[in-house]
Amino acid sequence: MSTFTFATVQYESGDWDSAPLVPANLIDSIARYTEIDVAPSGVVVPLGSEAALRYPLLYLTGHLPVRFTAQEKQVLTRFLDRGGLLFVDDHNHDVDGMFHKTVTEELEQVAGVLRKLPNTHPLYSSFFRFEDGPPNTSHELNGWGDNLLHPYLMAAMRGDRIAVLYSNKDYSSEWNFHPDNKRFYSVDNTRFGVNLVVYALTR
Amino acid sequence: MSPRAADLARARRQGTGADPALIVGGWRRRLQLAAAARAVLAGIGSGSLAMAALRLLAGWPRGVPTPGDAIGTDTLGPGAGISWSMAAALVVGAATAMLTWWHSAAHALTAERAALWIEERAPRLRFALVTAVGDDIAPPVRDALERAIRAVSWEGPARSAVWRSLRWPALLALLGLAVMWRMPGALDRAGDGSRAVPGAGGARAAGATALGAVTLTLRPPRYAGRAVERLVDPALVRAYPGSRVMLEGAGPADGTRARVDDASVAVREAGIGWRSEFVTGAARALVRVERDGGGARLLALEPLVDSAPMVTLRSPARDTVLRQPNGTIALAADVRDDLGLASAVFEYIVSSGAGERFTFTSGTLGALRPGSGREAALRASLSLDGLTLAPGDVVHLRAVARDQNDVSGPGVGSSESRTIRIARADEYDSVAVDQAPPPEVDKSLLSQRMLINLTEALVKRSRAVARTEVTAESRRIGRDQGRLRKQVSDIIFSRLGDGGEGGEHFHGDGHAHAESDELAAGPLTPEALLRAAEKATVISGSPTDFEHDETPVVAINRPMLEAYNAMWDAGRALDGGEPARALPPMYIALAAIQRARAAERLYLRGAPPRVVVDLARVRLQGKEPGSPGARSPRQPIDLARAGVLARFGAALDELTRDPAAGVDSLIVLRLAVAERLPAAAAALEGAIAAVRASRNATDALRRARRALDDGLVATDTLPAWGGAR
Repeated sequence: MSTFTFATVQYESGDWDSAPLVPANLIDSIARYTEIDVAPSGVVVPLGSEAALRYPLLYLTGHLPVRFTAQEKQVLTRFLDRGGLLFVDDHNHDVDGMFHKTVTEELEQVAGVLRKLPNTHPLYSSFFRFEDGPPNTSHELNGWGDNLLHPYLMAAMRGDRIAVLYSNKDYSSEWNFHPDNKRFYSVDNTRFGVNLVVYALTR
Repeated sequence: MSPRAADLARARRQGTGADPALIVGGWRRRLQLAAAARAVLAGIGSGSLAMAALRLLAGWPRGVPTPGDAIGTDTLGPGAGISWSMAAALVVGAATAMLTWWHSAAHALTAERAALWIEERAPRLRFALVTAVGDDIAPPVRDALERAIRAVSWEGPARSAVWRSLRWPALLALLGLAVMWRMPGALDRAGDGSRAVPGAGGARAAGATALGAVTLTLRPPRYAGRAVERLVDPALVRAYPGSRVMLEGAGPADGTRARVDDASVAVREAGIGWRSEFVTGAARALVRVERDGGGARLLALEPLVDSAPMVTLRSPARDTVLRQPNGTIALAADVRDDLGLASAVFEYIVSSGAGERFTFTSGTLGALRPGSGREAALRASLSLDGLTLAPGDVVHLRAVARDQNDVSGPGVGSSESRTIRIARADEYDSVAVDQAPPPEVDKSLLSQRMLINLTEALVKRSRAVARTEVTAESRRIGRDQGRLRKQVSDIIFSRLGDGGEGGEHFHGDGHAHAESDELAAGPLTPEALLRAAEKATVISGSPTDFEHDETPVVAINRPMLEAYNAMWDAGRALDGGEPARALPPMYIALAAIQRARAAERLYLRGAPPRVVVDLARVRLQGKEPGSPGARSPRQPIDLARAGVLARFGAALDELTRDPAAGVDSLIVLRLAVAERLPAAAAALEGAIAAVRASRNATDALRRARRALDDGLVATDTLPAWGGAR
C-alpha cells in the first residue's frame, strides 16, 4: 500500500497557488484523525502533466479566470475516467466572480454538468458526520464575496461516484493557515477535508 | 397519267406530307403505342392491387413460426431474392398486360383498320381516308379524295380518342400505386407482410393479426441538414437528437403498442395501417412495438453526437506582457464544426486587483457572419486604449463558437486562452530600473576577491621588497580580512534570528552573546558548523521549512560558515606576515561565498513555500497503530463483465430455442454495452445483422463473445495508491 500524497493542481491560467497552506493543514488533519499513510508534505502537479494521474485526489483553487489548455483537458478527462476526484474551490467565494464563471464552464466541458450534491450524500458521513451538508466558512458568515451562504456543494458524477466536487464556500481561505495554529480553534474547521480525502480513497 | 408521272406526283405529295397512306401509317404506330401503354398501365395497376391484397391477407395465421420468420427473411427460404408475393403480383400484372394488349388487337392493326378507326372518330371523312389508303386509285380520284380529307379536321378528335383510351388504365395504375404507397413496406420489401413475427418469445393468438414489417421514416432535425431516411425493420438506427421518427406498419392500430424505453408512444390509424411518431433524445433508447397476439419488434436507437465546434486561436499566438496599456492587438481564429456554425466571437475578460480583491470586466469582439457554413475565419482587433487598463491588469482572450444545434445544444467550442498582462512599475522586466546596491553576500564576494588580488600582488612583490614591508602590508590586508569576516558573521547571525544587534564580537568587548561565542572563539569543526546550522533551522525541535534534502537556511549558511572559518585561517596567516599561506583559505572562502550566492532561492509563483507536517508529532509519536481501517477492498471489475457475459450466453441459448427472442436479447445487450464496450457493441451489431439475414452468424457471435470476454481496455492503470491501513 503506497502513501497518500496531497496534490495541488498547477494550471497554466490563473493563480493556482493562492492557498499554499491548505495542503499542510489537511495533511495535519489526516494524520491527526485517521491512520491513513500520508506523506508529510504535499506536491504541486501540473494539470497538463501525466504526473497528475498518479494521485487519487487533486485540489484546484484560485481567484482568476481559469481556461484549461487542450492538454490540461485531456489529462483531466483521463484522470476522471480513471477514478480520480478533483476538488475545486472558489477562492473568490463569489458566484459573480470570474473564477466561478470560467472554471465551471471549463469543468462542465470536461466532466459534464455540475449539479447540487444532496446534503445526505455519503461524502458528508465518510468520516466525520455533517448533518447539514458542507460546513460553512467564516468567509461566508462574514458576508464576504458574494454575500451568500451556499448550502450545497456542486458535483459532476461518474455513476454514483463524485468525479468533480465544486465548492463556492471558500475553503481555500478557511483552511489556509499553518497547522500549528489549529490549537486556537475550539472546533477544527478542516474536518471536512478529512471526509474529502477519505471519500476519495474509498469510493 | 403514266406510272412515271404518278410516282412523281406521289413523291411531291410525300414531300408536302399530304399522302394519306403515310398519314395513316403514322397513326397506326401511334395506336399500337397507345395499346402498349394501356397494357402496361393495366398491368401495373392490377399487379399493385394484387400485392396489396396479398399484404392484407398476410395477417392470417400460418402455424408455428420459423426461424426465418423471426429474423426477417422471406418464408421461401434464406437468400430468396424476390418474395413470393412480389412474384405473384408480377404474374398478375403481366397477365393483365398481355390480356389488355391482346384485347386491343393492336398486333393485327393494318393501315385500313387504322383508317377505319380514324373514320369512326371523324364521320365527316365519309370513308375518304379508307379509300385513299388503297393503291389502285386513279390520280383524279386520288386528288379529289385528298381534297376531301384536307377539308375535314379529323386529327384533333382522333388524338383525343387516343388519350381517352389511356384514361382508365392510368387510373387503375394510379390506384394500385396509391394503395401500395399507403401500405408501409409494400414497395420496399413486398411480401414481408406475409411474415409472422412472434417477437421475443411471444406466441401469436389464434386469429390475431401479425405485426408484420415495421417501416421507419427518420427525419433528422433541421440543424443536421440531412435527408429523410426510410428503413424497413431496422435493428439499429443512428439519429441526431431531435430527429422525428415515424413507425408504420400494416394492420389495425387498435391493439398495437409502441414504447420508447419505459415511455408509451401513441399509435393511431393511418390509411390501412398504423402509425406512431416520436422524437429521439440524446440518450440511447430501446423501442418496442408489439401487438396483442401479433408479436413484437425491438429497435435500438443510438444518438449521433453533434460535435462542438473546434476553435483555434491564431493571433495572439502566445501570452504577452506589455509595458504600456495602449495600442491595438489583431485577433484571428479559425472555427470549424461538423454540421454548421451558428455564431462565433472573441471573448475578453479584464481582471484587476491583487490578493483577495479582484474586479472583472468582460466583453466580446467580432462576430461571425450568419450562414458561414462549417468553416470560417474570425477576425477582429482589440484596442487596449479603450479598456482603460492599469498596471497589473490582465486581459484574458479566447474565441468561442456555437453550432446550430437547437435541440440538444448549441454545442460550444472555445479556443485556448491568451493573457496580455500590463507590467507593474516595480517589475524587473524593464530596462529602466534604478540601480540597486549589491546584496550583502555579493558585497562580501567582491571584498574577498579584492583581498585575494591584493594578497596575490603582495606575494609577487614579496621577494623584491623588505620583509618588514611585506609584514606590514600583510597585516593591513589581514585587518581588512577581519572586517570582512565580521560582515559575514553579521549576515549569519541575522539569519540565525539574532537580530541586527548580533554578530561577531571580539574578545574583550564586554558583550556576552551565547550563540556568537562559539563562532568568535575561532574556526569551527564541521560538526560545530552543522550544529550552528541546525540551530538556525529547527524551531522547538522540528523542522519547519525544507527545500529538497536540506533547509534553505542551511543551504545558504553552511557555505557562509565555511567561508567564515576559512577567513579565520586566512586572517591568522596574514597577521603573521605570511600572505602565501593565506591564499588557499582565501580561495576556499571565495568559493564558499559563491556557493552561498547560488543557494539563494527566489520564491516565485511557481515554487510556493512547502510546509512539512511533522506526522509523528501530530500523531503523538509512539501510539500503536489501531485496528485495520474501514476501507474495504474494491469489487473486481470483472464481476460486471461476468454479468454481461452471462446475458450473452443466455441470449445464445434463447437464439437456439426462439430466434426472435434471441435477436431481441442481442439488441438489448448491444444497447447496454454500447457505451462501455464499443468494440463489443459493434461485434454484436454484426451478429444481429448476420442472424437476421440468415447468414452464418458463428464468426460474428464469436467476435462478440471475444469482445465481451476480453479484459478491460485500459492503456495504463492507477498506481496502487493507498488509503487507510
